[in-house]
Amino acid sequence: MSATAERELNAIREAATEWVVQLSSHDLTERRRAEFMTWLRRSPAHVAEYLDAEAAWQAMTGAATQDASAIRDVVREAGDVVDFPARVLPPREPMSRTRRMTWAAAAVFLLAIGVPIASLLLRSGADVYITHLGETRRVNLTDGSTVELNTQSKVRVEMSATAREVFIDGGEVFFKVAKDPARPFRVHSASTVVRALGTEFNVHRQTDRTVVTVVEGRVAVTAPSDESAPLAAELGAGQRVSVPMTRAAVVSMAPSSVEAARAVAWREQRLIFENESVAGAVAEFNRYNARQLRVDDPKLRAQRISGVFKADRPDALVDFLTKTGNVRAVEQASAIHLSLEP
Amino acid sequence: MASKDNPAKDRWLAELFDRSGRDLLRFLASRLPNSHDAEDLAQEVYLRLLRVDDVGVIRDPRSFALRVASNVAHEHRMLLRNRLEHSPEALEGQPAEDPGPYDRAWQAQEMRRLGEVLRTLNPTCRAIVLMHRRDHMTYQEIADFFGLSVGMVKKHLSFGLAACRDFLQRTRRASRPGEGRP
Repeated sequence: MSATAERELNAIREAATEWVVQLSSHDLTERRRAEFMTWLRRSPAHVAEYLDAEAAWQAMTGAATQDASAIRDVVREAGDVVDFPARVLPPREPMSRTRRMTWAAAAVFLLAIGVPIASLLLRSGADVYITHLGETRRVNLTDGSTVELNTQSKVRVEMSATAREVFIDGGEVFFKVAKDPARPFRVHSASTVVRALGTEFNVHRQTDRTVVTVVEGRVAVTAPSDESAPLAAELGAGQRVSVPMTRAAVVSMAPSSVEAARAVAWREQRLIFENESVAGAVAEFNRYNARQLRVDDPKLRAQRISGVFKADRPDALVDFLTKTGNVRAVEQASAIHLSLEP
Repeated sequence: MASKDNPAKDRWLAELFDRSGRDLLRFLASRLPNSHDAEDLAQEVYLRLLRVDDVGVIRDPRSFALRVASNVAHEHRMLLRNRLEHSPEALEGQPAEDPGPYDRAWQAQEMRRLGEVLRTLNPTCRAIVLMHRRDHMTYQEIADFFGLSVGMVKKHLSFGLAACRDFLQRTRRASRPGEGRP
């Protein structure tokens, strides 16, 4: 290949790489989209380099998915220590009506030239949000609702013209749902479904159950059971229901009254314990902190405590226990071991 | 498979496409630079893209382009299958219907080595790749996190992508079917 030809090919290759990155933007303008098609149609070499770049993008995604490193650790290599404060993210731009109508027209046009349109339909709000250990995150949805993720949580949000659906793959999420009578807001946690109109509620997906707590408004909770019909319950403010993961165990759905504020204190990075067992308090702290607490002594585990703590300060709990009880703390590399003084 | 009620997700190609999409995936995964198949595919896709009168009307050009490529790959496979019935010699050198254990092992190794490539990137670049591709953060969110412009975030991502792409071209060029795999 001549030097000029090689230079040209490299230029196309670079442009193709940049295009793949551009096309993954959330806010791609219509003009940019047209620019891409114009660029792509310049020659078969453009198409070839573009497909090559997409293949590399796919492979890179695969490799990234298998990398379990925490972002904090990766960035620390650069010499900066990074914190994960809860942050308010800028709201996504809701689609304007005129844009929606242009796409409808486009869909009709493309039907005429015989192109399958399934992949051309309105881009969904199918987004995934993940928090790592000790991280909280607030996301504003296009409908005005807010979703707050607690530590180690993962949700998928799908907004369409007719429904608003959120899937909790794990963890704990607080919802502030904006009223939209035309579109029901549904939260899925395993096979439990929580439906809300305008309300504030918390959903905690645990390994063996889902716990729904309502702070304001009303929600309807349904879950399949081994009976013929799914079980349902309607909850108001200050009520909570715990739905087991296994169908056979879903026998009743009677809500109980709770201090809703306590259930959502995590939103201010606070943990509130009221006559909680030490085992329970330790387990709760361990959700938020890489530095874990360990209690083996069953007598200590069963002791009760009350208090308000900052979620990222397990040392405060350790201080509390060592100063007010006969508890000894031994610090090790990865954990703090608590035991009763002999 | 995304149901009709749920709009198409932005998960990778596997969920966006039907069976013909898997052909494209397989094709791209085994993509060999300078091979006849690759050139034929690009040529045919190019011709079909030219048929679109008004490009401004296409809502999602990426999906569209990949859909066209996927259809061409599928038809190519169908054509080959018919041809192969009459010429057993041509059976050599064609990607199998399903990747056998040898192919899977090779793909796994490629994925591992690509992971090493990621680790050679500068920390910010690597973090951005993870945040976007693994953690599904948007460019704006990543930009806010680092205090960078969205343009810089894209530059980092392009750099990472170029590194992965160079690696793949080097390793795949070194291993064509019929010449044995490393």
